[in-house]
Amino acid sequence: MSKHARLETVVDMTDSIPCAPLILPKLQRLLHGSHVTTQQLQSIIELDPGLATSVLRMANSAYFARNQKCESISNAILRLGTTALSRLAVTSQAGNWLNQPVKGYGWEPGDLCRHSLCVAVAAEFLSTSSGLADPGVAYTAGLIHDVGKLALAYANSDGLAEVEKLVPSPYPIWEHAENAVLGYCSADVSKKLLQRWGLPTALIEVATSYLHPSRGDSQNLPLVIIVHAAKSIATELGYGVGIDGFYFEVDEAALSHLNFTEEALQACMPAIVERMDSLVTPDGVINALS
Amino acid sequence: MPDPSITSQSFTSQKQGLVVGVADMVVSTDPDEVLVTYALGSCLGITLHDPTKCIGGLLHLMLPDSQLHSRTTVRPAMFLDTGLPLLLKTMLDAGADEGALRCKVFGGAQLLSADQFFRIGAQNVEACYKLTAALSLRVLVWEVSGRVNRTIRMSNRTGEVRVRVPARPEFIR
Repeated sequence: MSKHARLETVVDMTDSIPCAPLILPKLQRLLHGSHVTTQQLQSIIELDPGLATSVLRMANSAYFARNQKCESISNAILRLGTTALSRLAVTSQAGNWLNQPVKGYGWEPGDLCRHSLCVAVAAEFLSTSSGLADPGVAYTAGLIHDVGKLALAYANSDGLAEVEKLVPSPYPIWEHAENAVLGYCSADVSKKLLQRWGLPTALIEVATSYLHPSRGDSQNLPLVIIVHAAKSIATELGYGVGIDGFYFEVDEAALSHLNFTEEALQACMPAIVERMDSLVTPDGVINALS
Repeated sequence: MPDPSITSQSFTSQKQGLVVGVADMVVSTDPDEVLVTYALGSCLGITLHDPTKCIGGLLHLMLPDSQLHSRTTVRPAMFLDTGLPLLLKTMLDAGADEGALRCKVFGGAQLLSADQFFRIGAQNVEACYKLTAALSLRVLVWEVSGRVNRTIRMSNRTGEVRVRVPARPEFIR
């Protein structure tokens, strides 16, 4: 049996995902202003995987969910209203994950945020251009696709240090080394966390299967493949890519399944970079946080 | 000594140096300047340096061939075939001697098992070998390929480039 934290322990330890500390003052100012719009709130929340996860989680809780799951951030904001959002922001402020150095994936501060943002932007772009998935859902799925990595880095960094030693030899794929050392991988953590939080099936399937879409039997296969393609693009562009990033296998069968081609995906990249330029400065600062 | 001058589409000057974004470039004649670009991924970071005049330039390009992307907004630094000639011209316009120029190439990381898709790193490196030869550039360093995300900082005084990759000690090339 592994001496490292079990999957259930990791999930228990990371039951709440706090957002980046810098995002909260701006969100608080908006929430306490007299004329806040849903669009203004959305523009802030969409920049942070931790806060987006918290908002979705609350919108899908028993109290707010009614009979319908909430898949996009804009719908979640409408469902919650400013009072609940304000409460959530205060609660999130207590969290301090991202104030601490996060070990395990070689991340610099803010790397996960930048990477997740790029995956979200690319997923939204591919959904819009292909018409194969809802762009708002694709953006949200991209933003929270690696929430399990954040949890693992926080709760089991010692285990990840051992994982690192086994990549690329004997394990050329990071996920396989995680399974060998820990007995589970970051996608398993994502699945458990998102299930526990009652998030919609589509978002859970993406976080669970985006690494190799063609191996699963997802009901939301186009969405999962789009996030896989978006993940590959974001990795190629380098935004927030840690030590594990390039030890990720491209699922070419899945990309071909949606008739994506190398040329078409490359052609998307300039537009994705233009969009990222509006969100992140050249030195990596997320614009809305400054 | 020439007046410090800077040419760039967009940059952020901070204590850590002139920061070059994706698909952008900068040239500086200030010997005390440091030129920086973050997280190259499969992109290439190409430095040109004139050691006698302490003039340096840095290009962060994304893709090899602008001809395949004719519909996109014109942004020469996005592509190798338009960005590198522009960097060279800007260096010469800033007073660098062509014969003294030293070139270093970084980045071009490659995803696993990418036979048909996402071979951008390899394509960038291959095209860069050809173009630097065609331009008769003297390339001293090829710190390329592999599966690492590189951040680079060039000292305009020495031309030395500090390379940082996740979870590893920084090194100089």
